[in-house]
Amino acid sequence: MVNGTEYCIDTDAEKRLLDVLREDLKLTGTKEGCGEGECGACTVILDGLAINSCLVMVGQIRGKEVITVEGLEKDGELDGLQKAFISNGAVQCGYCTPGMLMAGKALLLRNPHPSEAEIRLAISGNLCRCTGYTKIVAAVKEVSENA
Amino acid sequence: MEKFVFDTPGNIKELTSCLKGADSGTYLLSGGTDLIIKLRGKGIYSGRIIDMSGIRELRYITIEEDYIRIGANATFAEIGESLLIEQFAACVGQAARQVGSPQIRNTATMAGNIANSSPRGDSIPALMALNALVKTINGKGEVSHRTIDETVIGIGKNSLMKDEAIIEILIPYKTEGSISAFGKCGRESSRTTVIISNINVAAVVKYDSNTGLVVDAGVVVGSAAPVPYHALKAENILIGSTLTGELCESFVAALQEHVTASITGVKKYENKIDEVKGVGIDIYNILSGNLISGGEGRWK
Repeated sequence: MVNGTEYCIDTDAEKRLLDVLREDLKLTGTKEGCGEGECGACTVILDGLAINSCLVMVGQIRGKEVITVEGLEKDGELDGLQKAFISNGAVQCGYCTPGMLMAGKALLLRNPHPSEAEIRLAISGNLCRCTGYTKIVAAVKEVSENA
Repeated sequence: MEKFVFDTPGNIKELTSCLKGADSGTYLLSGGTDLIIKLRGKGIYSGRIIDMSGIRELRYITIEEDYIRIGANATFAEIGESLLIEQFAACVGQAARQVGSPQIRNTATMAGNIANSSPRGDSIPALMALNALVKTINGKGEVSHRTIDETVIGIGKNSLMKDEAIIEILIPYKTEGSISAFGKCGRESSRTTVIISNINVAAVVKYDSNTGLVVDAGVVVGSAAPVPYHALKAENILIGSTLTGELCESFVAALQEHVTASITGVKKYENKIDEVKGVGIDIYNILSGNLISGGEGRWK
């Protein structure tokens, strides 16, 4: 299941989840940065946990639930975290943003009121070359304070 | 067109069946965080993958018959968050919490880390220090047990047969009076996670509750040789001693001596000699009770 919709895809089981999302399902919000699990740009949520989609074969996720950045929006309205990213200036080039959003969202799903240290730990697997992370942390913090 | 055959056993019985006939083109998939990179890096696009990750009965952390038992599919995140591990095998929990990133820890398994047998693997020194065992099963359904150093035998080399899979890690149940610690210094210092070890050390001491003296110690150094090794001189310094500030200097000096010897004069590794000093001090302070064990280095 991806973003609430069940799919049955005819593809190679060893294909990376990242490639299936982008190529088979045309969900191109999830980005490839390094392909080695170091940058976090490919982060999605799998059964409630943030994972690197570049390091998971699609055959491993049979019967599981994936949420991508496209799945945050509901009925045309951006998720509160997405709004916070915009209002806090946490998006510059935007390439890390989907991964950052999913890492942040995964944290908030488990812990609606994380501390700053917990937020920084949650996004520690995500690289950003633009923002210096401060505004991203502030965005997640805003959601945690308003929850 | 090259393709993989992808087997998805749902239980240990089906796994055994899949392992029959495994050959050099068969790859076991546990978490997959190492395997995917390896296959793509080596340009391997065909063969057979046995995906163990769906075997629910291999995803557990429990205590049974004098051992903490970790199923092959328990992730580093689960191991790092386990209260059982924190209480009875703290160095393993600390190592688990310092592997990769949160994303990697949510997928990667300790069994996979052992099988990958990287000299820089973080869980391996921690498990060796605690005299952990690896339980395997093969295509005939035969079960074997090995120590960690019998399993990890070289750079990226393990002693498993092609039709053999790790199904459990067993850690002897450390009773009261034991304390363990793990520390590492990474190759890239600008990040707080996704740090591959440039040196890592795990240690465990057992105290006599009456005298406060150390009666047994295990100290294992990793990332300083093709395989992690027991730092015997450092262990002998701890055994029979009270962990004083003065002893810390001797302990750290012994670690440095070990690392100097094991890097065999290779200049590019000389920074490990300095790095093990810092790691050694942190570990010593945890063992002596001055530092809260938790992998984050919080002072009491």
